[in-house]
Amino acid sequence: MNSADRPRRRPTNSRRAAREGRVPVAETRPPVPSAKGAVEGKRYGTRLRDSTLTFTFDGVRYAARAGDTAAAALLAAGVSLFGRSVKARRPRGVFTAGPEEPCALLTVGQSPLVIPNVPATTLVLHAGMVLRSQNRWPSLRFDFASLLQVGGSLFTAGFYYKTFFWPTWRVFEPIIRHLAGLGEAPGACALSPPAVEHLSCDVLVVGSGPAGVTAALAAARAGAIVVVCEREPVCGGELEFEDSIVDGMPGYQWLARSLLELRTLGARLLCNTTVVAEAGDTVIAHTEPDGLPGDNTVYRIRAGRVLSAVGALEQPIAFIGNDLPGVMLLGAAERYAALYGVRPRGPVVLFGNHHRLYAAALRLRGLGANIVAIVDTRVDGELLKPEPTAAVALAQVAAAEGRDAAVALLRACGIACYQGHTLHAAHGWRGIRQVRVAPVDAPHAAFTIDCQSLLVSGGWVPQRGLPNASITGAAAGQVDLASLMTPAYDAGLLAAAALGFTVSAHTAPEGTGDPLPVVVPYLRSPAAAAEEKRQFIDLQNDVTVADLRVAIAEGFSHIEHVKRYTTLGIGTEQGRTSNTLGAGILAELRGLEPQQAQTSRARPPLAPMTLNSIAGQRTGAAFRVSRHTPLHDWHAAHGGVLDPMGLWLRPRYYRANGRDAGSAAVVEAARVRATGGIADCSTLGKIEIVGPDAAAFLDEIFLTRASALKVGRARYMVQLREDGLVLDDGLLLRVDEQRFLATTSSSHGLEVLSHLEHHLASAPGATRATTLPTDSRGCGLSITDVTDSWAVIAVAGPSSRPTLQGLLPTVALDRLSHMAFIDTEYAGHTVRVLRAGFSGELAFELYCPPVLAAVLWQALLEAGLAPYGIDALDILRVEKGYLTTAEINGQVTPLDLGMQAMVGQGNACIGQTLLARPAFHEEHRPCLVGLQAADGRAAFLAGAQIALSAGGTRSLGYVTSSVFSPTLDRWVGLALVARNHTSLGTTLWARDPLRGGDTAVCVVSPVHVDPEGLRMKGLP
Amino acid sequence: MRSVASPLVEFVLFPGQPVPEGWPALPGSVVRDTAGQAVLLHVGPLRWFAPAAVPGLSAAFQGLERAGTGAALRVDGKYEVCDFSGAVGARILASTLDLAGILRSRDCAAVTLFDCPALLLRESGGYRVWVQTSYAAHFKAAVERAAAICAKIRG
Amino acid sequence: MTQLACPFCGPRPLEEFLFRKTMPNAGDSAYARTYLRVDHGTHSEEQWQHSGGCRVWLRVVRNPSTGAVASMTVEGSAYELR
Repeated sequence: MNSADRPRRRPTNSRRAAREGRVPVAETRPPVPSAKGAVEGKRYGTRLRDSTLTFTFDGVRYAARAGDTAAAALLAAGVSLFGRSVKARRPRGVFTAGPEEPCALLTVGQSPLVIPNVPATTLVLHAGMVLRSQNRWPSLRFDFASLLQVGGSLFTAGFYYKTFFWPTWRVFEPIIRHLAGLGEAPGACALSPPAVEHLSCDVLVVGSGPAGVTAALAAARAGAIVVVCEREPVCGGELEFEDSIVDGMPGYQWLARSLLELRTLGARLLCNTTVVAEAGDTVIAHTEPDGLPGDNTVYRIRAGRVLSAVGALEQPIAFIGNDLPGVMLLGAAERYAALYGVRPRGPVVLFGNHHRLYAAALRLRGLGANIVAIVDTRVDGELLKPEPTAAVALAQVAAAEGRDAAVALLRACGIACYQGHTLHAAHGWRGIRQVRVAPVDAPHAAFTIDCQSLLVSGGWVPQRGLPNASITGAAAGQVDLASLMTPAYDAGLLAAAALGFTVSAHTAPEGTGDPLPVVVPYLRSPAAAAEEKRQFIDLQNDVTVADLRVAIAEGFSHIEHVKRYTTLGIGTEQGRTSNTLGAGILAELRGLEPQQAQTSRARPPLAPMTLNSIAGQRTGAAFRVSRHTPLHDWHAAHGGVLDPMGLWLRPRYYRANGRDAGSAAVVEAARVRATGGIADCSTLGKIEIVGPDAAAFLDEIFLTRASALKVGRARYMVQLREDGLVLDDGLLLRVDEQRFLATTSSSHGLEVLSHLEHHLASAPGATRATTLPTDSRGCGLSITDVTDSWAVIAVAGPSSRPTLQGLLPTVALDRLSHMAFIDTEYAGHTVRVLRAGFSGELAFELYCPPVLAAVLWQALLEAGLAPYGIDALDILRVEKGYLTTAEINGQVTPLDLGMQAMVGQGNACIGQTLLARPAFHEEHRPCLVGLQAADGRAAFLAGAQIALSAGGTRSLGYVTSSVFSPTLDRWVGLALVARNHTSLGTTLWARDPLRGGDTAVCVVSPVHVDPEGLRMKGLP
Repeated sequence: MRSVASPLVEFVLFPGQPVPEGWPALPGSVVRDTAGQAVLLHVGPLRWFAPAAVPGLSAAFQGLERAGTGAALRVDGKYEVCDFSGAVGARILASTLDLAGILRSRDCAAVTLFDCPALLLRESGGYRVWVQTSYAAHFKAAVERAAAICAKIRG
Repeated sequence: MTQLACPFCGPRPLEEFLFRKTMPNAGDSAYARTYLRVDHGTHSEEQWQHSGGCRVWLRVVRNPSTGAVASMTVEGSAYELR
């Protein structure tokens, strides 16, 4: 398969291997025309498809089969070096066959669109994929920084807490930044936003191995809606490849039948989907097709019950040199053989502490692997139990005839069995060459075995899943098929029954497979103290047994401390291959009983999740919702500079009027005072309150009595919070006896709506006189948000009335008095004309349906009025001392804002009680004043603090708003200043240290322009 | 996405008043005319939404108002409407809310879709959504984005 | 607790709800009602609004330590459902 491919500049590992006399490449895959097939009745290469593809790894092109993972294809091509470890840059190969891979992490793609830290073991190849190993320079074989490990003992745990101090950290920082970390950060985002799906189901089964499928079947048969999440591309777990018989048929056949039954029952099977977290009662899972982030889907699943069947993880054993490439977990090697048709290279040694070693040895040998030795730490362990499949029928005979016969049989197959022996060390430079083995009780009687692959298995540990799920299967400790099926089935039935789905008539399946392994715990082989620094626990972060000793010596003995001090288990696989081993060895080093070993706490996400996935589709323009007015498109098309203000996009100014906001706003404001202008005020909140009790209700809401308002008139009204401070201000229009329209500040629309609804729901309303029949309860009242059903156009300035009169000939506008409104018709729609404004000019506000807004706006433009933006609106209102949320900042009372007359009316509204507090009458309460620069044209900005002297450090208040007034040709502003310093004419200082210094200002009336309000009345 | 031409009414019943004859009384229930078009949607406690001009309906509202039973609010222009059809439509909506879960025991609901306040109605063959007008541009962009992503990932 | 069961709308994501306050003790002065936080221990009575849905005001009884909701009822008589 590889021979047809011509390698590029550098020789492939295959040529070098051939030169060095090692096993030729082609022999790692059985040389049948299609590598998928059957050898001695056993299926292998089940994930492969027929087509081939090529990909690149570190600049060299390799061939692969469709369905191959990067690890499988590269192993088949004879590659043994996949990367280097984080701390000491030691050469690393492939250790596992799943996402728990600590060593073989690759970078996919070309700069800057790279995706780093992708496990080669889960990355399914596409044609033309470009892969690179990580953490090495200049190349994988010759890494400059690995020379640092020559001084090996320098790099014990926590060395960076004790080094790099002299002369200064800054000398080392650039070097360390370059060397540290894992993988290259992408320069641009290669990932597209994920799809998001919310779904709900009755039973969520995590994991579709034998236990998961069985439990899902049980629940689905009982009638529950079932969703199964499986992190592999296909369902089945061990059923895909282990020798098993379920319900009388081979395991994989039973699996196919069960999956079909599940689909028929309506279950949803999500493959490539890993459950990563749970948030309350929502489980978050994400799909990474082909092991690559991007093009993925994030699921938010609400499940009635969650069953965790996530299986168990094989554990390694620590020995000297256990990090060499060529050392792999036994189960991983079996998976590579069964799923991808790749057999382990060269002479193979197996090392472990349970009897499944022997079954695995025979299975691999059946595939053509050259197994030379099995090192079993158990002294009197059982060799083989009777197995159901023909491939190891030999073993049945051997087992029946006794251990010596079995050993002789294995020896006849070329497999030497060393029971009661342990593996002390693995030797090699960039890959394993030989191992040193000795009897457990006679460590000096060591001998070596030459090998190129070492398959290790130290038993299994249940994989951690969601904390609140019920656990079944291998994750619950049942590692053999025979014993897990019935409990798994029961778990499924129980989950369904808890949700009310009755038990069905079916029975649990019965299966047999690899029998229960009897594991005699064995964590590490003995080693001299000096050699403990080469017994690795965490392969990614180079944490060794010596490091644990250092941590204990430094006083960190709790696993959580040790984890953080030594960096054990903090890598991409979060300790799946190292936590339990480390915890056990730590307990041993501390002299504790093995049962006292504790592992560190796992936190979500349970699998790596990119920020891209977490962000979902809320990126870019979708990051934050924005609201558009009905005239939005016109503003955008005519040079309006739209800025977000709260949720709304509003035009600050129009480009035709000036090159920046400051100059344009001045031009626009001046034009309004000179002739006139129109502004889009549709962002005002509008709430309609309708009903017999509407007036009485609003009396409780506003500072002044709403019931006194006459039909057809509007009034400026203020609302207080319960604590007496001002909540908002706006206009109240009485449309009818029982119908009111209240406007709010643009930013307070929803808050005021909730405030009104809350008061309606929870206040006793004793003062309301209800006109409803006596048997009714509650209030004859409705509150409805109508913000979006009214567009509002402000028409302001000396020419506003004549212009508008031209458009609305039937309305007698000169008889419309200030704060009165009238409903009329324009172009077939209702328009409400209110004589009021926020500019101090003679002005009208036109309330019209959104569909009419553009038409009306256009008509006003054609009649000669020009638009002005929000900044100009601000200039006009500051000149007149009108308030916005800059002054109504949530910290002032109506008294502070000069509304004594309104308070004095004594209306019993929300907040009146607490407004009466003595503290609100103290002399240092803020008071609203106007400010002008003492020397004419000096500027001062909103936010400047008010002080008594130029360098004064005690703040008396601050400037709330400031604008350059074209009318007065100077800067004017409004401020909240301590009342005892606010007599007119007082000179104060506006201090603005961050933006440019201090300005002397004079206290003046907040109404800077036209204090008698003549312009508003249409008088010159 | 399109503007709604017909008059839109939100009708609020005053507490203690009986639900008028023939109105959808259960939360989330809907009353349709003979053509299958929704006439009244019970979208909130004591609140009904009438999305279409149906003969006699406005007269009915006026009668109820005069009798002091409730208040009819004309909210023309408050919503824009968008239809989602088929499996693709359902998939797009599922990217912002648990469609099946929310409509499990009802035909209509007041919801938040892609951060926009909206009313959702189950129709034959799909769903109809009324989104508040000021949010419509954001909603449309979010829907198009979700549709593009769904199409890409499925394919 | 990522879902709350609105009496009208059914179970909805937590983001649709707005928390306002914990109920004061009956008989508290206006000052105490406004400013003093009452700690009801595991039986906290609170006011929430379903602002992202039907906008009903709710009286929620829940255990703040675990997030478990004991009951959710419509607040007051403003939204009496018959």
